[in-house]
Amino acid sequence: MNDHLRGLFEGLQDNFASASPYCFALPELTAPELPAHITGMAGTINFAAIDAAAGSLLLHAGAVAHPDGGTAVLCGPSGSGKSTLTAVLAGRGHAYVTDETVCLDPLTLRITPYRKPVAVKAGSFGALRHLAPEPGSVGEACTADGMWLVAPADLGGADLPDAPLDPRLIVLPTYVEGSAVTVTRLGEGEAAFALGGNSSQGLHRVDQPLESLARLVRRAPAYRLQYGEVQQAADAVEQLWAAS
Amino acid sequence: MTPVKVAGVAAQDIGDEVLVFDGELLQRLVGSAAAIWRSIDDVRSTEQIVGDLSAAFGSGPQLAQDVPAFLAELEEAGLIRLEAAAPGRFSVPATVAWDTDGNRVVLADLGTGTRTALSDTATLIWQLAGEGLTSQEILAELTAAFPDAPNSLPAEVAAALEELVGRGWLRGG
Repeated sequence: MNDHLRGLFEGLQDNFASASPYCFALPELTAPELPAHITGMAGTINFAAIDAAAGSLLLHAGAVAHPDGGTAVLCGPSGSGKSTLTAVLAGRGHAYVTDETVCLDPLTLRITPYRKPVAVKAGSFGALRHLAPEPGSVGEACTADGMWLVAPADLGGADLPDAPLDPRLIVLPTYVEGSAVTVTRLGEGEAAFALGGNSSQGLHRVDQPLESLARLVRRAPAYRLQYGEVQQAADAVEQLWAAS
Repeated sequence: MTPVKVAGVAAQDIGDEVLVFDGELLQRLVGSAAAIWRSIDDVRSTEQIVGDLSAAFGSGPQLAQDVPAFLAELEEAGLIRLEAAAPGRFSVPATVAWDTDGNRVVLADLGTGTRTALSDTATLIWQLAGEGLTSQEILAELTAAFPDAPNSLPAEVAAALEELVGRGWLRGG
């Protein structure tokens, strides 16, 4: 059992021992160890999900979807701003798919959604002020770990469409403080190389990794997006998406 | 020297470029690097590759420097081996797979998807060549196995080997 889970479980057992054999109280939300347990569990679940998807093409990316299943994949390393951009696009009504890992079938490229809580880092608190956790909530407790964990239902986006999720647009965002929005279309080779460098679990665990990357960049146009203001970046993504 | 791709290295053409993945590192080859990679068929020597690319792109002197230098980089990266061809001996390229019913063999090029079936005689010649024999040793083996073979056997063996090498089912010789 993971250390975080074990710690939480043992906390519950303490309550269990002192109360009814059938019912037990949850630890107090303000318990100092709770944020570490919850963020630890979130990390544990992320790793377990990635492990369970061995063979799939997993990209370190956020994603939002249109009602027809067309999906914009926002791919980049930690700090590129993909979670912030994903949250803003969801707030504009697009369906939230994930902010962490886009899971694609290596053959069909169909996307399996992974709607984990959005991790909003301190640098984005200003841009996403409306997502600040309620006082006394679990989300507020988790800010002790330097980020907000925002439930998908709180983002304001549409429900996931019934249609299969299909990649229609690839954006590689880069946040640069003070930068104007610049958009650069990538060639297929450059796009595939950039995506391959953002594999969540390593390309060696993907069935036919290069063929999958080639299919993906032939299916969806890819752009590099540099920005300094996230609403302008979201405007650019929506324009690219409408044109793709 | 003959550049030979290392088994397990995957490559994918994407537009004019090539992505190469050795199981750990993804590399992107563009421009002349992509053209050189595509020229590596486990059969052609470095000199032949320089000649072929020079004929295609018309920049011989520069290619004569660039190709060996890039092949050395690829070898350093563990993506290819530079093998000295044993004079007169044949071998089967690493990209060639085969199956046999005992008499005839079917060959498949895993790089291009090309397949072919060999005649009984060509099967024998290809198998002996694949064991690393020279053309003279192949001829001696066949003469011993078929003492009544026609006088045209040496010419037929030479022609068959030339075609098998030309089509990429053997290298060396």
